[in-house]
Amino acid sequence: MTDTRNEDEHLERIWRMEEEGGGSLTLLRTHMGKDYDPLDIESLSRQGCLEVRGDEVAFTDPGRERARRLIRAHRLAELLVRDILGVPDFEAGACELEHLADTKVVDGICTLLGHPACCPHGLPIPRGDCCRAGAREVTSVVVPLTELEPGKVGRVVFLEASDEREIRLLGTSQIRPGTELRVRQRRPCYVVDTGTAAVALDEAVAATVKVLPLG
Amino acid sequence: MVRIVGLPNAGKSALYNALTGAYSVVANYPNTTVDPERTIRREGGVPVRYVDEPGVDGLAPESEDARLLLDRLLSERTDLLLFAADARRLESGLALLWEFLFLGIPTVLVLTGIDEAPVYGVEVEYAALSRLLGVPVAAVSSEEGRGIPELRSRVRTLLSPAGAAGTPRTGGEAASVAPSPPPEPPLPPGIRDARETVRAALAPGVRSPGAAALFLLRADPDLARAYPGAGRTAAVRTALLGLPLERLLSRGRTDWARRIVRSCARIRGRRPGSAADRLAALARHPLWGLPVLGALLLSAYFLVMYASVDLAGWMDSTLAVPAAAWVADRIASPGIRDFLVGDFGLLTLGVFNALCTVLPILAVFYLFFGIIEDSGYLPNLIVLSRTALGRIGLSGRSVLPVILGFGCKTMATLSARSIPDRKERTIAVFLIAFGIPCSAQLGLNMAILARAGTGAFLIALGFLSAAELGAGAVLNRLLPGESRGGFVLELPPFRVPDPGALLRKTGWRLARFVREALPVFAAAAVALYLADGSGILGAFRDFLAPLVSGWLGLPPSMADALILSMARHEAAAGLILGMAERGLLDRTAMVVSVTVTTLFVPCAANIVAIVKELGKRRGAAVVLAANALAITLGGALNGVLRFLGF
Repeated sequence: MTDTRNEDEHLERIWRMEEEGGGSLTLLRTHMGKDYDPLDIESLSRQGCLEVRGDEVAFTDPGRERARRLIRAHRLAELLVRDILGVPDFEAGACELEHLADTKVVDGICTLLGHPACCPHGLPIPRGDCCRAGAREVTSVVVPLTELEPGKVGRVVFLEASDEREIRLLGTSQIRPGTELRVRQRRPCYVVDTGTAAVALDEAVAATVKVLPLG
Repeated sequence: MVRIVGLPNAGKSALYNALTGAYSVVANYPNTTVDPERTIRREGGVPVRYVDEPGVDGLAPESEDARLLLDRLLSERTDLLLFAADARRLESGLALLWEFLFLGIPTVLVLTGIDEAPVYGVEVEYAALSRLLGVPVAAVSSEEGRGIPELRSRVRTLLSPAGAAGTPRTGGEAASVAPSPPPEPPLPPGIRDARETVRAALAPGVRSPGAAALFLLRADPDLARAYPGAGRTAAVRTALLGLPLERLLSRGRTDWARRIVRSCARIRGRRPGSAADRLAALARHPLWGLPVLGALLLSAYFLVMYASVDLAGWMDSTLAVPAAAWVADRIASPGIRDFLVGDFGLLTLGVFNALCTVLPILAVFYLFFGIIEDSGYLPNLIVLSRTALGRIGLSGRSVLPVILGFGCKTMATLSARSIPDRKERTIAVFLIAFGIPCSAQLGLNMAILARAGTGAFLIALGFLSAAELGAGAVLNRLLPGESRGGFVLELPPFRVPDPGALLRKTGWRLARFVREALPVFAAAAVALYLADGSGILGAFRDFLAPLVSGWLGLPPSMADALILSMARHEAAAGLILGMAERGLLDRTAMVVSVTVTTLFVPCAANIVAIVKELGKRRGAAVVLAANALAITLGGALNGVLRFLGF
């Protein structure tokens, strides 16, 4: 996974400038202070997210979509952290989420919170598919490894095993939070690929490995 | 004393062999080494004792292997630990190293398998790794011998009095080594305090107090009481209160390992879809795995047929027969001639039979078996057999020992100690003793059946498999307790076996046969000669005749083989092979005798191991039940085959 955190911050700031009535690279530099990095702007325009003409900067369509997703996740996270978790100084925690969470996780949070329209600062939260569908139930985004079809990849989120030895055995075989697993076969027992090795697991053990499906 | 430690299948035995020139069996699956292997080698004029320790996945007290290893570490002197870690599994290796660093014993991290590392996209900055860990790092390829001389000289430096005193040296690598104990890795704060409480309560003079205290903290009070140097268990319990200990430790060590790997190594992972990968997937496929297994068994069978008919036949006619004739010509006394080259001759039945008939068969079979072992096929077979064995109450943890029984039943029985559940351990030990032939017996059984045709081979194979699975299912019903426990097994990569290592292993096994089994062959011949001459043998055969001839349908002389199988199974199989060659057995008799001797009494060494793992009562019950069942099933098979006119 490449770290796009700095680029994301630039996109979010440009989105906010737009909300406030437009801006320029000069203004962006003033807003961001020492976090401003011309290399990121260059990289973003090379990726086709931004159009830069002189001091003017504007989103392309893909760039706008990417920024919209980031803002949505960020503002939902602010709500989650303040209203549900009750943390008053929510900015520190929330500003991490949008870089890490995937669309399904964000939709889950949105549904859980009842598709809120505004963040705690009163700024609008961009709508998601879940809002348009009016979803009422949160489907879990994290599933047991046993729900992945052969060939699919999932990232381990946590291990639910009650037995310490099992957790240790899993850990020894590289199956621990953060590892990406590809399911090779499900019968006669599960075989997953960790990148450096194939590991065989009983169905009972595989069910305790909770993963985020990555496709 | 230098101990080689590390995870299972980390390449410890290969490292031991490369360092010492001694031999400890190497195979491409975990738990090859069950008991420590020791040898002494002179390093720079000083004798150094090397120990190849069985692999462990942690030093947690609930695992028997770990407890035994820790007992040795705490009670015996250890000057240096060579911690072997497969470069491909660096992070897992470091997570285990974390536990060993608390021992406070000077340690060298030895990265093994660096010849294979590029395949897995593994790049390690050794200097940075060494700096982060605070221990010297060596990289070796035991099979190619790369890095071995350097490691040996490093061991020499570390063990020399000057090295141990930390005298500054000039030039070369020796200057960078740290002969002092390694720094302790960080413990989670709560555990650190608890551990200090326990450490303070330890009796003075305990070796490695830091590790001992950590171990006691993790052991349940009953276990902790067994350690006389442990001080007050009350302190242990108080210190434990309210901490999710194993979870904290587990997180602590994996985080630590991950941070270190991130800052000094790049592991890109291997490209999936290589030929070896696809072959392994085929071998464990629920459908295609079966023909693969069948093809392997049949190839073994035809190879053995070749060895026993052509190779052994040739050796017999060019070596054994002329030699026996030569001896017979030169000895006038009929008594002595009979003793040496008669029906029960020391030379004919003992030495020539072992060397000219059995040895060539074993040579071919061991070579084939070695290829299977080193290729990494067996762990995939475990996956394949998982369903069948699961149905009879074996969780995946027991499958490994049972499959290892095809190598050596005694070793497999000892490795059953890794099964935590008593019911399952009993079932596994029984199944190893019962329907699984050890490799020597398997090879000879195939040779016997080769004379009865492929149909006979398939009948015996099917019958033994059915008996084994049926017995397991019945035991699962009869024994109280619920078997549980998950199964996690890392499948080693398929690889082309190294011919040198393969020949070495086969040679070692054959040498062991000559050393251990040849005397048994000779002694059996002498015992049979004496029993025959004194009339005891005839009386004994008559006594067993109702059973052997009546029930099992075998010639009365088969009683000799049944008794001999208690000493060594391959000696009994050798005797039966001789009977088959002399035309004393028809096809049914060959199938029945192979089946009965496979199921019948495990050899003496195996019985000792059974009692060691299960205790006297349960052990005796297992042995008696296996025997009674062997005779019952053998008779039934005889009845059915004769009825069908096979």
